[in-house]
Parts: sequence; C-alpha cells; structure tokens
Amino acid sequence: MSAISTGDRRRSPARLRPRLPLIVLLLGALYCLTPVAWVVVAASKTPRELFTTFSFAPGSGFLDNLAGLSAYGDGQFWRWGLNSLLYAGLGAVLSTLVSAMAGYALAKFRFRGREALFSVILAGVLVPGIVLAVPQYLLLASVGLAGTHWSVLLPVIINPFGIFLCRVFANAAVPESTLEAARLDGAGELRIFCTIVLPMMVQGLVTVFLLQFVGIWNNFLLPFIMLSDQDKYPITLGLYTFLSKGAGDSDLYPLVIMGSAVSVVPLIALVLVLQRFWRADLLAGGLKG
Amino acid sequence: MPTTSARRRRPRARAVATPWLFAMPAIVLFTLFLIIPIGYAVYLSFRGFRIEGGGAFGRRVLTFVGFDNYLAALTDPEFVAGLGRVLLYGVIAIPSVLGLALLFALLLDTPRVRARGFTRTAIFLPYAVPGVIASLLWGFLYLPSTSPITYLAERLNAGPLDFFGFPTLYFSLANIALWSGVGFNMIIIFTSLRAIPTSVYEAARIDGASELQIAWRIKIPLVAPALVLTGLFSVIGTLQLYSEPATLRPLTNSISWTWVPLMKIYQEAFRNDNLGGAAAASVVLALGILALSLVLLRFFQRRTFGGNA
Amino acid sequence: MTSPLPQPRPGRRRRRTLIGAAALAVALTAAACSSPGPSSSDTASAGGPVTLEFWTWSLKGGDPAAKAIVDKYHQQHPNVTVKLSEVGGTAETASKLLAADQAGDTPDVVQMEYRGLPALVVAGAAKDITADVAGVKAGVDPNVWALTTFNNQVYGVPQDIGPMVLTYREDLFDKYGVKVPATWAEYAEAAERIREKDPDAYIASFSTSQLEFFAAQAAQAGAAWWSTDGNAWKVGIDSEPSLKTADFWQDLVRRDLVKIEPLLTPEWNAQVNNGKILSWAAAAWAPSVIHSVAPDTAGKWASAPLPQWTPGNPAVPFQGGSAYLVPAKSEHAKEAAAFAAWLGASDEGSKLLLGLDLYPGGNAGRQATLTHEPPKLMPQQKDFYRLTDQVIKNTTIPVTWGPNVNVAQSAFEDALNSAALNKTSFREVYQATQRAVVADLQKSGYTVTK
Repeated sequence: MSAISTGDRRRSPARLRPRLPLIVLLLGALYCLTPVAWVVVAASKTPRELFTTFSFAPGSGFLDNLAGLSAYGDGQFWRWGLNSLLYAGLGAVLSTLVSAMAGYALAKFRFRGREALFSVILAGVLVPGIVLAVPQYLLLASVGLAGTHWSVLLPVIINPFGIFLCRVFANAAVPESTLEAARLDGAGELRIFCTIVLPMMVQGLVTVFLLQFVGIWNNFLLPFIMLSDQDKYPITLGLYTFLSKGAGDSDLYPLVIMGSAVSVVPLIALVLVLQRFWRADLLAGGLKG
Repeated sequence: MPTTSARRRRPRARAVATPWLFAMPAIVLFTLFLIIPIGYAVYLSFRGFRIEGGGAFGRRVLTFVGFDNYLAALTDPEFVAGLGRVLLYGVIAIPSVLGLALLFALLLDTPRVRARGFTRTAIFLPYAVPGVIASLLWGFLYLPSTSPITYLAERLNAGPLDFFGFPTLYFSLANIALWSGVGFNMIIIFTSLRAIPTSVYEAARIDGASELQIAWRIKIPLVAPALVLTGLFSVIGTLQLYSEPATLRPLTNSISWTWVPLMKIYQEAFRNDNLGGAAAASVVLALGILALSLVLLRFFQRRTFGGNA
Repeated sequence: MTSPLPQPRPGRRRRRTLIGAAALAVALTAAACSSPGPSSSDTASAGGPVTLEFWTWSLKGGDPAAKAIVDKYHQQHPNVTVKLSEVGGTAETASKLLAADQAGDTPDVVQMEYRGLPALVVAGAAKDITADVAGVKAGVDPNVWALTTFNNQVYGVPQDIGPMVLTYREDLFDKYGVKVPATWAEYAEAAERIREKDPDAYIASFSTSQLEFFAAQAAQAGAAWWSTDGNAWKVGIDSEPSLKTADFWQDLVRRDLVKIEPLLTPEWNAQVNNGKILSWAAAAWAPSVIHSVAPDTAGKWASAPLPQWTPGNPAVPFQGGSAYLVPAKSEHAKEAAAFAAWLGASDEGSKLLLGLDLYPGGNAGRQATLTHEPPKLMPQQKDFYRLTDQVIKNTTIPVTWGPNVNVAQSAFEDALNSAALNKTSFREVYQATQRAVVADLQKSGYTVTK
C-alpha cells in the first residue's frame, strides 16, 4: 500500500507533494486502526452473527456479550483484570526503577567490569523465555512462593532490554557537568539520583514503563506455569482458558473476543495518556551510542 | 600533600562502590531469575528421562544422557527446517517493518505535515494489542468465510484468496508482525530524527535541496545507528518467533506443530515432557542468535560508524 | 530538549515515590520470607479440616451445576473443602501437573483425558488408587474402568465417556435425498451425492487435528495403535487394518468429497452455520459443541449410530472423555481419592455430573440419561439418549493409549496435513507416525515388540 504511494510521489506533479506525506500517513493509520475497529465490531456479535454476517457489520449482542463476560465465574473476568493491573502496574514500576538504577550506573560511572556486566545483562535478551519458565517455577516453588502473586511479580522486575534502554537514555539525557556540579555541592549519590537523574530521564522511563507494562500485561507463559488458583489469574491466562477446552466443552468465541476487546482498552488508554511524554526528544538521539 | 589525598580516598572508595550499589537490585534479580534458571536449563540439557525397572508401565527417571539431546536437536530435520522458515519469514518481515517504519518516521518529520499526533498514535496503537489477540483477529480477517478481504475480492471477481498457501503464508505472518511492530520502530526512528538539530539540514534546504534529497542524503545516514539497533532487536525477535504461528496453527493445515524453532522447543518442554531436549534446543538457538547478532553488529558497525565505533 | 538543570518540584515527588518503592521492596522481601506456600497452610492431620485443590475444566467455578456438586459434598463432609481451578485442557493440565510434581507442590484431584493418563502414570505423577476405589467398583462398567486401569492398577476414576455417533443435518440430508449411511462405504456414497447436489457443501470436514478420531477409526477396523504384550509395547499404527482406514480417507480427500479444514475454526463454524458442512462423526458431546457455534440450526440436526466397516458389526470405541486422578504427591490423597470416587463412580455423584452436560461414566448417571431431555441441538430427537445407551452397550472395543500419545499426535498431524495438501500417500503418514512412536519408546528405554 505504501510502496505504491511512494512510487506515486516520485511521479506526481510538484503541487501534490505537500499532501502526499499526509495521504501516506493516513493510509498507514487506516491500516493500523481497521483491525482494532474489527475487534470492537466483532465484540458486538452473537455467535451466529460472528460467523455469518459481513465482518464489519455491527452485531446485536454487544450488551449480551458484555453481560455474559461479567457473569462468567461470578465476575471472575473483572478480578482477572484487577490482577493484570496489579501485575503489570506494580511490576512495570519496580522494573523501571531497577532498570533506571542499573542503566544509570552503567552509563555514568566508570568501574572495572562495567562492559562485562553490561554484556552479560544484554545477553539475557537472547534466551527464549519459554525454556526459563520451568526452572523459574522450580526455584520459586522451592522457597514456597509458587502460586502466589509474588511468583508472577518477581521475575518480571528484571528486564535486560529496559536496562539497555535506560543506559542509552542516561547517556543521552544526563550531562556529566550537572553530576559534577552536584557532587561538588556535596550532594549524596542517592540524592543526586533521585532529584537530578530521575527527572532528567523521565521521558525515557515512561518508555521503559510502557514497554514493560505492555510486556507483562501480554505475558502468558509465566502466569500459566506459576499459578493454579484461578482467582490470581491475569486476563491473558483467563482468556486462554476460554480458548483451550477439553473435548465437549462449549465454544466461547464471543466471550474471547469481548474479553480481548475489553483487555485492550487499558493498554490503549495508557498509550494515549503516556504518549504526551513522547515529545520530540524521547530518545534524544541516544541510540547513536 | 597528605591531607588532600586522605580526603580524596574516602570519596573514591565510595565512588567505587556506588555504581555497584545502584546496579545491585538488577544484579540480584538477574542472578535469581536469569542466571540460575539458565544454569539449570544447561544442566537439564544433559539429562533426559529413561525407563527404570522395565515393564510397559515402568517409571521414567531423569538421568545423565551426555550430548544425546544436542545431537537430537542438531540432527532433527524439523528443527533445522524451522530455522529455515524463520529465516525466510525474517527476510520478508524485517525489511518491511523497518522500511515502512522509516518511511512513516520520515513523513512525520517533514515540515508542515498535518494530523501528525493522530497518525503517530494510530500507527503505534497496535503495539498495545497482545500478540495472541493480534493473531486471532488477523486469523478472522484471513479465513475465507469471515474475511472482509475475501468478501471484497469476490465482489470484484478476483476469486477466493488463500492467505495460508505457499508462499502467501509467510506474507500473512509478516503482515501481523508489520501491523504490530511498525509503530514501535517508527517511534524510535522518529525520535532520533527529531534529535537531529535542524541546523544540519536548514543549510541544505536553503541551497534548494528537495525534502526527498534531504531525507535520503542527510536524515537516513544520521539515523542509521538507530536503524541498526532496531534491526538487531528485530532479528532477535524474529528468531524467537512464536505466538503468531502458534495461534494461527489451529486455524490452518499449513502450520505444523514444530513450524518454527520456538514451537519445537515449546512442544518438547510442555507437551512431550522432554525438558532436556527443549533446553538443548534452546541453547543451540540462543548461541545461534548470539552469533548472528555479533556478525550483524560487526558488519553494520563498520558501515555506519566508519569502523571506529 | 531536556533542561540541563535539575527540576526541584518533580524531584521531591520522585523521592517520595522512591521511598514508597523502597518500603515496598522491604515488604516484598519480608513477604518472601514469611508468606506460606499454597499447600503448607492446609496441611492437616487426618480428621482435621482439609482443602482439596481440584484442577478441572468440566466443573467451572461460576457454573451453578458445578456449585451444586461441590455444595453437596461439603454438606456430607463438613471437614472437606473442594477448591475448583481451571488450568486449561488436557495438554496444559498435564504439563502443569508434571512441573508441580517435580516441585512437590501438587493439587489433590486432577481431571485428565484418558489418552493423557499413561504418560502421567509412567512419569510417576499419578497415584495408584486401586484400594481407595474398591468400594465403588460396581458403580462403573468394567469396560469403562479399563480406560483407567494399567497393569491391573487403577489410576483414575472415570468422569465421562464418549460413545461415538454420526451427528448430521437431518433437513439437508432429506432435501438432497441422502440416506443416513450405515457403513463407511455408504458414507462415501452420501458424500458424493452431497457434492453433486450442492457444489459448495461437503458431508464433513477432514480435520487432521483429531488424532483420537483416526485412532478410533483404526480401532473400529480392528487395529490397536498401542497395546501391551507382557512387559513390552506393541505399536500397530501401521498395521493393515489401520492402513485400510488411511486408504479410505485418502480416497475421499483425493475425490474432494470431504473439506480439508480443521475443526472449530471460525471457518468451520461459518460453514456449519451456512449448511455447508453437513455432519460430524464424533462422540455424543458433539451436539452441544455444534449448538454453541450454530445455535440457530437447532432442530435441524439428528444423531445416528456411527457407520461401520463391516455391515452388521456395530462395535465402536469411545472417543474422548476424562477421568479424575490423584497426584502421587497429593498431601490429602485419601480424602482426594474418596472425593473422586464419590463424584465419578457413586450413584449420587454420577447423576450430578449429568447436570454439567456431559455423558457420565458411572452407571447411575448413564441410567439417568434415559429420562433426560435430548440435547438442545436436536429437541425433536426424543430417543437420543436411548441411541447413545445402545452405542455404549455395543462399545466393546477397548482402546489402550501409550505413554507417548503427544509424540504420535504431532507426528501424525503434521504428516497428514502435508499429505492432504500435497495429495501424497496417507499410508506413508501412518508408517511415519509408527516409526516416530517406536523410536521415541525405544529412546526412553521401553521394549517394543513387532
């Protein structure tokens, strides 16, 4: 779609040029928004309508589906939503803080073993989470934490990619001179970090928070292997139990789709709220280094 | 002067400890939740279940099996074929995601473009949709009976479209990656574009260079490092491709249980109860990713940083 | 651009956040040290209060019928609390149970499909409950007990069973003048006729993901995919009767008489709704599944006995169904086995299971189906449960599942997919699956006889 548009741009007369970027961008927006719109439309359909009417024709079952979702397991879905908010919210806050501290240390201090430490942490991105889930479970089970909220919270606080980004942000956004000046004034290191570094890095931290929030919210494998008490499930795991059933269970497509639509809402809201932090200098060219 | 050096020593000792103190929470958590599990996985990769006591319902026990698991992973045609599929997919997906992300970023960066906030947010929005849900919804949009695309194609007499054939399946999967990933990459490239001081290309603009020339000659070379890094993370993400094909698998006959390496690993770990085999395959995959990343990084570093980075 | 100077106001707020976070980290560590594991809190001596953690997908937390069952048991056993938890289907439950077993932190009762049982038995994750269920032995038919008995030891209490029937669109079969097939040969003829009458319609979808269906087909034809021979395993996936069923389906696929399409996808659901897929040969739970995706077609369907390979021989195996096992490391194994025995095998329990819309394995529950309303999909077919009862009486083919059904499933499904798409030999699929299954058994150290 966009390939055609760029081709057009080359050939088109000069007076069209100012509009072309806008047209291409609007096409891109359309491409990205259409499937989201589909989820909303599909959530309004009864089982029959879902499979027989035109995809974007609104259905008649929106409230029924919502009521069905709410009624499922005595309102269990909303409890899952709260759990997800807890895991993703608290997990992302702690993860961002831990990443910020580590990233700042790696960016602004020269110490022996710095590059080695950074490389080891970065290598953590290379290991697929699938194979770590079971060892993590056995580890937490051995201290009696498996099955608790902590078992889903603790492992997600460490985020190698977040540390990597924080190092980049700290490099770009925190000038040496400011730190030196603060030290000369006799400020303690913790105080410098809290009052000077964190505020300077706030835009980057918003990014790390958002990425980690979305990551935890969408994580399925870790809660699946850790939790067996349905009351502690996050939304993704709950929706998964809708989809995977033993033979003979009834089909829950409308609930899955309604659940998906509802579960995406907080993420979209978060993107909309946090994107105002993304002004021009989000990464401040830091990815150059 | 002894007094000065004495006064200096204490801050210096503190300075040595300070970065470690800041990094300590990360190091502790990293050790607990990555190093130890990775170590345990490597240990497991040398172990496997073997029957003890004999009989048709003899008990399986974990025993040391040497390099059996590695041998099995490396000689498994499905694991190797899965790597091939992932590479083919990556050849399609990575350039389209990065290319389109770059295009959108450059367009957002052109002067006086309207609706910038709206389009930027709209293009980023799919990033918030979980991979499983994204695959499920595209599944609905691909399957002939529920697809609006097929619906329109049939109205236009274009015949039924097969989104799951060969090679269309690869494009269908790449499209999901494009849809969910283009916004994220666009934001990263866009922000590094905005970080370029405008003075750099004001001069070119005054000299009468077109926006296209400025983009091609000035902007793209300047954001090349950002492109390399987003590209590198795309490569890592691609080799760890899992949720899209795994979610689409039940919808079509074209995706096997072991279609990509991670599906094979999941299969061994969670369906065949062969943690050892899964661990060995993961070690092979992680080393492969590491090697590929280093090669790519070296290659691009030389080209984008002039060899001295 | 970021201001190079520190901003005092956000800084102060930051610090407060940081203190909060630090306090939380402390609390977190404290909790890590003191928080009891889920099972240690309910360790109790015999006679004291006991909480049974029950992993099941049939008894759903919010379902009134499930609640009635649990309440009833609580009433009779005031010291026992049953806690329901849904962790997924067979595959998910099995992998979670194996991990839990390794960690020594298992639930107390676990629902598992019959085909998943042997793998858990050889992994040592399921407990031998022969003695615990001796008292309710008479409550379940011997050929149903056979599904959970290995080496003469009982490892599970049957919950439900899947007598196989052919569920079909009665109205469209009538409209197209298609006779309900009594043999698979007639089934092929019916398939042909349907294609003639409506070029867009098929008698059924050919779903490669239904390993159990193909195993049942082979069993019906006289093959045993897995069997034990003394201390050795015997694998018969490539036995001649099994290969004959492969030939049959290959012929239907080659002639485009069945639609190559996985089951229960949005595509399949749409085709069923639109009257383009006209039948489904599956267990008696099929009607409720069809009803949930195509409620508007209720009243247009009916069920008939499964077609036969040999005219006059009505024997079919069960398809699907599950049992309750007690994990080897359950801390309340005695109470758990007693609960499982009550729910699956007692008169009271098996009758209550009928309320969950499944076909109870216990005799009393089966008896109760005879006075039960027919499934919602076919309110007009008053004799539905008499039909299924007759099928069970004819169900004399015992199916033994091996310890590596999952290996067979992925090998079979992947090979059959490509054979169906590329129109290559189905026999080769069965032979390749045989090789994969035998190799896996031997790798684990089992003896496999020819």
